[in-house]
Amino acid sequence: MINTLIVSNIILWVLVLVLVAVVFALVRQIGVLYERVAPAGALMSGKGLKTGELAPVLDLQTVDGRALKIGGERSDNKSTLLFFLSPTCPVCKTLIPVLEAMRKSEADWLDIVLASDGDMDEHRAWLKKQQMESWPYVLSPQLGMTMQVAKLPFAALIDEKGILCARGLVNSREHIESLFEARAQGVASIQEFLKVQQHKHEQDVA
Amino acid sequence: MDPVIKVIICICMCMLFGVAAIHKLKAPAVFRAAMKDYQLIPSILLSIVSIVLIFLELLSVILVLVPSAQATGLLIMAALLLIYAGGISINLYRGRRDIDCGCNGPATTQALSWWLVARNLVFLGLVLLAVGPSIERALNWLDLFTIFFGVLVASGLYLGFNQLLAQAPRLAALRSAT
Repeated sequence: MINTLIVSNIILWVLVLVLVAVVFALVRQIGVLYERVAPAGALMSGKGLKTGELAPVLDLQTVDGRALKIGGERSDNKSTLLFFLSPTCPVCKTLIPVLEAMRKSEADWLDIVLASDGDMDEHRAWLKKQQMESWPYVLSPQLGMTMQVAKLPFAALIDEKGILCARGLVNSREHIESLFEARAQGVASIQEFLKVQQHKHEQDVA
Repeated sequence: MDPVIKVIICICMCMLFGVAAIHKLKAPAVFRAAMKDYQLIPSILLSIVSIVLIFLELLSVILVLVPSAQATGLLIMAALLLIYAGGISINLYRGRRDIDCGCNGPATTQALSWWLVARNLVFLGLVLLAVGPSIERALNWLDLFTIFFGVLVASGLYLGFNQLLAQAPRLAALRSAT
């Protein structure tokens, strides 16, 4: 009898351990599913983030392993410029010196975060080659989907309250600066700015 | 209480606090940043408090492994668990859910939630259970077997629980999107 109990006890422990391993594996797989499914939610038409709206808070991780929060109210009153790039995009490379200069000159109110997606090792090697290891650099398809990045290089400006101020395709220093200008003027884009100006003009004429 | 339960609790707690201390030693800046986010300690004291907390974690692990000092080590662990649960509760009351709990080192961020408080309180209960009186009896080979598998299963469940908690914000985001 006691032998029976011992054997059953051993078998039960082994089975429980296997069960826990299976549960853990399932939980991990659910995590992977969330990563894959979440962007599909953002892709739905009409659901996209608009300028002037609160950007969703995303907890991300930089390639060097630090935690990085995008969105939400910032305690240090700094805005965030998200710059989406790819190692294979030549225009992106031409903007890097511009960003480097901005990172210094606008440091008092602006954090610049580089974002991309793809293979971690590839991006790390590229950063090393460009001597840009000091940059906060995140790989997140989710972030790109949230900001609705269509073409590269793309930039999005999130202010200190976590509101998406402006975003768009940026091909030059002037384009990036126009995002800052949009934030200062409180308009979402140069197109909207022109529309407002025209409206004002019409009112004046009337 | 049976010594097997006590040994399992002690080993699990040593693993928990040992891993926590190693994470903090590996990335002290991350730990300081997490503590700063809690907004409970004046920034001048941050580095001192962080050193004290890491020291207490390591000390408690060592003490629990020494049979004669076991109760002291367990009580230090209980105090640390209470301090962490208190810090999390205060920030939950303030509505600051979005800060990183600083529980898992730099690899994963985990938002604050009452689940974390509940987890700490369960651990606290287990630690206090182990401090309590236990029966003296010699451990046979089946007891060692139970201890070995008990520790493995408890660790696996803990990892699974943590993973679920870390994923909770994503599930919430998914729910609100549809």
